[in-house]
Amino acid sequence: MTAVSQLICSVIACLGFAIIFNIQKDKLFWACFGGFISWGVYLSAVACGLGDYLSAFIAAAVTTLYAELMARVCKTPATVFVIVCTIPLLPGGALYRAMDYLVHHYKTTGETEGIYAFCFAASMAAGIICATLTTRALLRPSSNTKQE
Amino acid sequence: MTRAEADKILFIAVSMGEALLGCGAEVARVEDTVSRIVLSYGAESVDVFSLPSTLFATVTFNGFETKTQSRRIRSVSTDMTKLDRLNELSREICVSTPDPETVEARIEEILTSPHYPYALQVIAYALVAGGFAVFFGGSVTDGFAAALLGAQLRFIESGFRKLTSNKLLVALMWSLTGGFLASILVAFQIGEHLDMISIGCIMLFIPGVAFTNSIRDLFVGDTITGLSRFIEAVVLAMTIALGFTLAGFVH
Repeated sequence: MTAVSQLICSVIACLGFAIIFNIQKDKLFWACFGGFISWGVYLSAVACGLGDYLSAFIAAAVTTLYAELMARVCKTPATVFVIVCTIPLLPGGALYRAMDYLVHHYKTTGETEGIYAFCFAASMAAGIICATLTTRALLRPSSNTKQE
Repeated sequence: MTRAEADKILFIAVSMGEALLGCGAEVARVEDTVSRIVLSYGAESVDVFSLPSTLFATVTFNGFETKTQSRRIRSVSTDMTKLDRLNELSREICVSTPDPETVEARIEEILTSPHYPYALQVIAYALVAGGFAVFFGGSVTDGFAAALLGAQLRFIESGFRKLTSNKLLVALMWSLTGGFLASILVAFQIGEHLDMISIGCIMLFIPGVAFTNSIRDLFVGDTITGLSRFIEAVVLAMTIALGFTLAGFVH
């Protein structure tokens, strides 16, 4: 039940951010669907017992592959999709909690939360980079895909 | 090619770089785009270095001395439509090398192209805040309260932006107001959990994208960019936490 409501909410939040980041109307649906994919993959990976960091890596990598695919379909830089689709994964909550604990003098909890946020973001960044490099290596850039 | 033409070409190339950085492009993309543009106009060699806040390009054209131009980027607001269109334009420039005046006009046209209407942005803020409040485990009423507050924050934020250009001060002021309004909502029993409503609104402004992208920059070798964005994100997150804490004291 939580998973379903989280998936719905991640799509809603993605739609909001897609509008804030001014993504064109024809790409809004695909951007939101990417949000669904990223959180769906993350939840499935966690359910398989892979742990948070590895799950973040896999979810970010799968989402980036999706973004690279959609970028080619919609003829737009992949970043457009990567930024919005990975939003449900971003450790914004953990980053806030870390700072919140530190401001309240809970130094140890704050540090733990901060390290978690950092490692989580690093796993995601690694996933995004691996997927980007793989697609670039596999698909030689053609004349209409200059970058990414 | 005359010296004035060479100047003009370098000018449009750095203008393109500046425009790209201003709408949130990665520095690697900016460096790549600027060098491709000048090379397609027949430059002999080019060196571009970009940080999120500055851009330098030095170009050598056949038979001239070297030329350098730099730009300072003061504010960034992520705009994917502009990024997309600028990217398309730069591709077009490299293929057809139109005359610099046309390019300048096109860049200007893209930069002044409209955003989604204000009302829709207010709804978007509400969607993000409400969505994340429930996402983090709040009830549906919490989601509703957060959506209400999120929509308010769009007005509050743009109001504070007019008062000061300092990003941290704006963040401190909206988080202070946001935290205060959240406790008022809970006091009037619109929404149950103060922390869930707060986190929904915080997700609107917490630099999650910047935080993750800064680590991405570090991994691909743009170390200075990565570090500066990382520190920026951490300081901003700290400011937001401070704002909500102070609001808690008032409450």
